[in-house]
Amino acid sequence: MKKILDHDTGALAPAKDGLTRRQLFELGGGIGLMLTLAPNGAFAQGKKELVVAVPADLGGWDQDYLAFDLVGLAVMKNCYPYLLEYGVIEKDGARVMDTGTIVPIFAESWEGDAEGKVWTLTMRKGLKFPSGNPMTARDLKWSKDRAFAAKANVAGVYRMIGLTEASQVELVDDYTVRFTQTQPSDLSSHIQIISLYVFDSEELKKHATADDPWAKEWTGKNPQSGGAYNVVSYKAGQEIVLEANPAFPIDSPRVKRVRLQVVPAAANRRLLLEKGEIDIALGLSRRDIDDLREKDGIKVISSPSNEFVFMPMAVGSAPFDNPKVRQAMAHVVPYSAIVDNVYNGNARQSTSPVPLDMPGHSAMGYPFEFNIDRAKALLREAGMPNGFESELVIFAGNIEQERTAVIVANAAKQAGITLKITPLDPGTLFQRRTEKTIPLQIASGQMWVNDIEYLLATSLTPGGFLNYAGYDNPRINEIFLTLNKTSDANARADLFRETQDILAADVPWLILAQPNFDLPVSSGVSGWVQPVDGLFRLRYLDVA
Amino acid sequence: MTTLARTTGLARASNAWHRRKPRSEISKPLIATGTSIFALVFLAAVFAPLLSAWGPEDIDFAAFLVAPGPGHIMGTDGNGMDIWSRILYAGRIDLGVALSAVALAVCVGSLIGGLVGYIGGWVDEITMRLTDIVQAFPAFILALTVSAMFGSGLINLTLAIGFIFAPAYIRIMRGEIRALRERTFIEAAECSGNTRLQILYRHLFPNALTPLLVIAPLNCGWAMLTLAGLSFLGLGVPVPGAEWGAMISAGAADVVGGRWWTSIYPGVSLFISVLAFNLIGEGFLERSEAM
Repeated sequence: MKKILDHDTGALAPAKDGLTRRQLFELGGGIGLMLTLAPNGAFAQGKKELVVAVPADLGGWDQDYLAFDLVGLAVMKNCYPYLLEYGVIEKDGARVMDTGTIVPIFAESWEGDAEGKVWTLTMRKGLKFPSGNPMTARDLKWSKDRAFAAKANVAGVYRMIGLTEASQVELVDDYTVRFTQTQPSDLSSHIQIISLYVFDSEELKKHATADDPWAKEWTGKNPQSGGAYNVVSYKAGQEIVLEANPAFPIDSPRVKRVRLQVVPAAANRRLLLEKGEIDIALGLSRRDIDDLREKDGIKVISSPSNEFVFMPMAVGSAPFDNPKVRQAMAHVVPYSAIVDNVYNGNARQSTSPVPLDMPGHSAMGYPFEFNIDRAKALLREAGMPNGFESELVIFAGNIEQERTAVIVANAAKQAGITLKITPLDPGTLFQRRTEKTIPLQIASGQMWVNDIEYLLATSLTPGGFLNYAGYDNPRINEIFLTLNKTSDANARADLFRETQDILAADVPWLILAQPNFDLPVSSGVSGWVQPVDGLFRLRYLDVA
Repeated sequence: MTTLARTTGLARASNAWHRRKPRSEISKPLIATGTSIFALVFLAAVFAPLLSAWGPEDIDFAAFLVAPGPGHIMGTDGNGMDIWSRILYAGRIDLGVALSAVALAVCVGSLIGGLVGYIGGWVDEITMRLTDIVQAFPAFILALTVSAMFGSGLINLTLAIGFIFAPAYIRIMRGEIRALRERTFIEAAECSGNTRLQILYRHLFPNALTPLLVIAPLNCGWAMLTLAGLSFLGLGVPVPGAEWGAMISAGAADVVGGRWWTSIYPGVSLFISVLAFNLIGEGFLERSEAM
């Protein structure tokens, strides 16, 4: 069936056979107008395609079950239709996301009631998925029903703002959905910005089965589109091709076509960038990135980041069930050596499990420094004067983690602690994390919502999907529940301080470093917007 | 046609060289050179603590990825570890695993091969079909599978490499025993009242060992390459253990940045050691053919 561009929606719509003279004049006039309005018009964008070399295929296409892999984080935010987004501001010469501004994308409006408990989202009219199915509030309602029923990540974060059941998300009409929280929350809009994406429900229903009523299997394996970009080609393990979505309701993506090419060897990705055959190289080591800073035709986009690298200890089992042992571990880590040698100085040493730059961060949250004598004394107090043996799990192929592990293991040996380094592939790592069988591991994280309440929910309370330490402190759990109901800034600040005092004594994590964000790109790439959540927004990028 | 011509040319050149020197004479320099290199590598590995100021896993926090120079004659790697020291200590692992794996394969293979060759019948048939199955797989893929199944670690690696080499020794020993047992001196031994075990132990095994001694040094070289290959793929010695293949793998990423010393030195060490074993093996081969 022939399709034409729908002027209202920007989507492709069925057309009648042949063109009338009137349609021909309209089309010609339309093209002339678009050429005149060059900077923001669809034809001015995308001078050429943007080529990104990535180390592997993405972990799966289902946004509800994002594997938090590097490629998934680079792709998902661009191909799913997100209803809300943060604005962009200039800060210190760089473009960053502004968490104080909320911009509706596929939504028309987002409003809360006076109390902040009931939120109403109105969708734009006339939207369509690339499949041709209309995008309405019914899709949004179905998407959230799916999240609750299939216990998706979204259902986990929704509990923070008092959304625990599908019935709290009501379909008002074809364009309106109402969210009724059990309590008001300061985080409502922030949580919804990361959670309000829409599945093409009509399409997914076609692939649902009796055993899989939410089509999880099909969705995980097949590209989903309808966001700023549509996936026009996917060759598993080789290449993903994105094309700007003509139906994207606000500023069109600058680059019309983005090709993500799988190049497993880091050395090859680096060489391709040096030769100018790609525009962006993902997953390079810090040392490679530092080498590239000196090369002509390449620039490194750098900024401080809230990504933090840490070592969760399994607090539920020996030897890490003893706080003295955990404190001893905190004294055997040579923090400055890691920052200097693993990250070449492109990292900050954090002083709390709450990342630097997160509101409420206290420098007293992690009062430990490299001190082997103190570590030995603590081990004696813990009844382990001769130290102990443990496994230290790292992500196989991650050169920073491997080098960090070698440095930590070397230092720990001086205190009598023997750490056996075990690199695990992503599948085994995920399985062992789920089974909670890892005594000590290196992990990294970046909070999608820059708030301590979110950090507690995801990482430091039972049920948090990033709670690798299995941490379960009754007072911390209580503080988290209190934060849920507390909007007063001073009261929240007091709770943030108390949280970090408890964590400083309990030490569920070793806080290794907070690396800067460094992205090597060809010098023709511009327009980068630094995300607060580590998720790339490709639509802002341009390439000369 | 071209291949034939080349082959013929090579054969002619080889024959001409062989005509110039008797095989027994060719073998001597090969064995001597190979043994000398091996002795050098072996002694360097044994006396590693005396030859290096650094331990293989010691970190020099002031020298990460520094080029060869006064403090570190072969430079340091990405973990700040001294490459010269690691190469010396790695010799212990590489030589140790290679020699142990081949010794294991020789012992197990010759014992099984000798027994089935002497007993014959259905035991022989079943054993040969089993070795067919094992040998049907490419050796490296088999080693990869075995070490992936049982995990890394020196003992598992030794067993995995020994396992893939053993069938060759079973076959050779079986063939030798079957040929020898028809010889008159065996009949004489039987007539003298020797038991089957005595005949095997006193007469058959000693006379069948020569071919195994020819192949064993060559297999040591292959074993080192297999170990290096497994380590290169991350299935070898655990991090941060010093092993040549693992060092080549870890340093490969640095070579692109111009830091050649992290990979080149362990690569050269591996090459020299494999060359030593190959020279010894070739020497024995020439000698056995001259006999």
